[in-house]
Amino acid sequence: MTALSYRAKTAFQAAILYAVLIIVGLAFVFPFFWMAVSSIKLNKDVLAIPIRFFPPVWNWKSYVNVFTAFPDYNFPRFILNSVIVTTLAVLLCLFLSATAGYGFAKYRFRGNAVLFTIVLATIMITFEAIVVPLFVLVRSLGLQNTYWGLIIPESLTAFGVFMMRQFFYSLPEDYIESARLDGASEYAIFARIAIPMAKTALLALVIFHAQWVWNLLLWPLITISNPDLRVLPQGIALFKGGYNTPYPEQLAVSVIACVPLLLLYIFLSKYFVQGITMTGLKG
Amino acid sequence: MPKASYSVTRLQRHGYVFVLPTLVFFSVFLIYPMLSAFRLSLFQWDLLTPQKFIGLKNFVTMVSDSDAINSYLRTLHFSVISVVLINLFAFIFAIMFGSRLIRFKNLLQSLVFMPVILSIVAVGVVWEFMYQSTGLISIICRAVFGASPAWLTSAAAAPYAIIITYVWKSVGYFMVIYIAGLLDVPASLYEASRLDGAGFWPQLFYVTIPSIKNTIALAVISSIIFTFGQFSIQYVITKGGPSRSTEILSLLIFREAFEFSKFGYSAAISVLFFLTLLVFSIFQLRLFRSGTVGG
Amino acid sequence: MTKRVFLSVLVLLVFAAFSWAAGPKKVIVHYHWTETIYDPINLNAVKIFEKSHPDVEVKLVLVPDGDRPTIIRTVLAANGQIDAMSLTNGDSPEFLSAGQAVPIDPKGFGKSSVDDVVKMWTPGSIESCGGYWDGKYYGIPYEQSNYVAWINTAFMKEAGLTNKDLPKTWEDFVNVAKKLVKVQDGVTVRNGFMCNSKQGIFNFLVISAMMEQLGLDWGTEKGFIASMDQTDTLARGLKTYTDFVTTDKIWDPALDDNDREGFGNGKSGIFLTGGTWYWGVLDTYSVKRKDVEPFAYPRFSDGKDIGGVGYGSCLYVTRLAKDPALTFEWLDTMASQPNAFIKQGLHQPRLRLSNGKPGLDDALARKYIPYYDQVFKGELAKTAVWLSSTKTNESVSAVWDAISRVIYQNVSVDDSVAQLQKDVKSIYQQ
Repeated sequence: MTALSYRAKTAFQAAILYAVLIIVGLAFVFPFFWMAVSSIKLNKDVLAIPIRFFPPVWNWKSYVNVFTAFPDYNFPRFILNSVIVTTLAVLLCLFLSATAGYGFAKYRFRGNAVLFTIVLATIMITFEAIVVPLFVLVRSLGLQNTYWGLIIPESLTAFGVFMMRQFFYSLPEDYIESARLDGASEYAIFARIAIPMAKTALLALVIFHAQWVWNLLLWPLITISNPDLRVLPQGIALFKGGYNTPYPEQLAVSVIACVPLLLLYIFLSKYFVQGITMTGLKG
Repeated sequence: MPKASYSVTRLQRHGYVFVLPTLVFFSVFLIYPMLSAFRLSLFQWDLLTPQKFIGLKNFVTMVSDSDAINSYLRTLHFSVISVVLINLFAFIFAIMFGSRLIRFKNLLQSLVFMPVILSIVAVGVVWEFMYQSTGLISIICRAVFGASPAWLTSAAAAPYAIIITYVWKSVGYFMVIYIAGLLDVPASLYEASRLDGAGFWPQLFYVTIPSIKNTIALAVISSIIFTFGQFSIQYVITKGGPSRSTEILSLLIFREAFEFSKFGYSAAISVLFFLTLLVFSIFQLRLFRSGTVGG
Repeated sequence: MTKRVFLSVLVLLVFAAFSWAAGPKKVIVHYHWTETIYDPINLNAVKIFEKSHPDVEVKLVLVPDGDRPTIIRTVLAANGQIDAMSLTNGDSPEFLSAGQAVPIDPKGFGKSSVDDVVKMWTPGSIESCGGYWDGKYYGIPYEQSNYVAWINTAFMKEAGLTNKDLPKTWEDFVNVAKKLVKVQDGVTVRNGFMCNSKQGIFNFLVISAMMEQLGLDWGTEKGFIASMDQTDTLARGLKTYTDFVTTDKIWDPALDDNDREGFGNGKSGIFLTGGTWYWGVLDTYSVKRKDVEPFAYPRFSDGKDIGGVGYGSCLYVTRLAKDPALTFEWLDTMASQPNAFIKQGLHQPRLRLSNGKPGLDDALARKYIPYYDQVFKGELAKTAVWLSSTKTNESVSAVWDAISRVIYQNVSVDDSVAQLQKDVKSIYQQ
């Protein structure tokens, strides 16, 4: 294969890849784009047919309305609550998942498989089925209408344990063995060797869990009645009145709600951008 | 030599210590409510009047309940198709987006991941508009194929409308898992195979896929469990309709409890749901046999 | 290191939040639904009450209407904090029959007997709004409405129709609706008529009126069960309704799923689930008030003279209320602004306030509700009755399934009726 035709082939492959990926990218992001554009339409234009993509009348006021026109909806407070709850829930989740994942993956102890299956079993029951008993429990612990009543249940996910266990499996034993030979304690090994090596998995878990907690609606809806403690999804859901739904404002809030997660993802994803090391694509 | 002297009991003890926090929290906040819910399946309860013990009657009713059977089948249909599509696309995207031939990796990956972070209410509003007969998707269908199904108002098309939306929303999530997994494959393996003269496809099948076996196990098992328990997309977009064609099991569980106040019956259905997933997961975990403890 | 600092700051914030939440006052927690045009009025009532009761704090918890019964049920079951609740007459039987509400206490209104309290509202309104159960009065009315038919007169003019053509029978209705349908390139862009294609309750209420016009008693549990023996009548009612989609083709469910929005945005010529409050809602849409006219529900030429469904909602004190008399005082205050609500079209049937001042000003009603005398008042006396049963939701679901099977799955009307009969039988067996 001559150098020239090789370069041409690579360029061709690249072009195809780019084309496909751009179409895919656009298809994926288009609904989000529609949502952002519709949030600055007037209510009647959002629903009008024929579909007008761009607003005939630009209604920036919808964003202002979100913060001023609804006296009971204190959105800055909702956002703050969401930030507090999400941050603490994610941190607790990381702690629980990393420790349990490491324990299950790296240690042979009696009941390892059984205990792990029990932990995994907790995601095999739909949340709706345990909402009522969980609420009764939370209430009897005095956690109803508190931040912790949200944070603790929302930090528990067997998926996190599962994920960390899978990643710790692929951690080579050599590093651990040599650290042990050097006399390091198990906890030191965990903190200084295992955790840094599982960085990509942990960051992925941060993103996953953050977006789940951030968008969680059913549990806060039932546990939190104090308007000061409401989280953002409750705020968004409040727009859906029985008789009338102000769509521009609801979409505006939804756009605002995406921003923190988007920032988090962009910030963390530079760890993913290294790309995979497959060299075979050169053909 | 040094290994034998401290190995067994010390390592076992530490194993317990590491998993203890998780076990405590899970037991109190997840397992106890779960057992509570299972116990409830033997009762009849509407939350407002005292519980009434009825033994296995709920399960007997469930077997001949056409709505429950319908739900179960709908769930299988939805789950199988979605899981296949999600894992296929997620893996393909992970490989494509990671290719050395592409720049703007970050941007493209972010675009695919964006649906994941959108709130479900917003997703519901947007996609509902797009699926209406004058909505964008219908317009595109008519332009390309000449006709468009009544996406959300025909019992035949609605399940597929939901699948499309769900796959759209979830692919990014699993793509990230695959990317993270692919990143951990040592470059040396690829170098070695390249030196042996392997091209793209052989590398894919003999190097990549075996190396990310753990990742594939994680993605497939998780996607099955999540998809089986999926609730919010159907709830927001179709509410289980039209004519219960998108009423998957978790939605039925919700309706029986929170709409019909039949908490005992709902708990019985969730027991069935749980057993299905449990059997399936045990089978899966054995199949993937993700390495023994200690490498 | 920074992570630890960050974490401690957050934990401090959280603990601070604990102390903000605790307060020394008496607290009344009231679960009510949110409606952006009515919320300011209700929040004003909170201000008024707190001003005259400085040691009391009212927490009006506004929740989305669809989730409201669920949340209330859950909080009650867990013996949580809930002093007052708002329920529609469709919800209330379930709660009242289970003893979840406290009967009216005249002390909360400054009166000496329950009768004096009841007299403050138009006769029969508490019953229609669901606040009466098993011989006792529990709730005070918050809203009383009835469905009438609404038509877009601009579209009528387009089709060459005039006021004289307002349909009186269901046959007329179909003929008029057919003329209002607009199709472009094979796609329906305007329905002649539409109802909500996603939520069963609205369809149930419309078909309920039809069934009652045909002589079936769908207002009581006993009547509903008994009506299942009238196969032919059931089939006739179901066929009339589902024909709108299948044979008459005046309703394409795929165009829009929400009839109030669809009509308000010009996607439908007629809709059947609007009350006086719809005027206030219409103003947020593109169709103008002058192009809209309400009229009485069509009848069957050989059926009863019954109009659209009448419904309402009441405010209740729950069994968990810490101070029932005080809570009734709060509810009284909340229900004391009928003239503020009527401006938005929301009708509250209050004759007199507790301090003796007059309640709803009829003149205001006439001013703010176009066609009040001509259509709404008359129909209010002839409403169909919303099913009052402890298993309302299941019954509604069964009827909606029957309708859905025909319009979404092409099942025949007779087969669907047979399935409906089976479903209702198993619902009420347990």
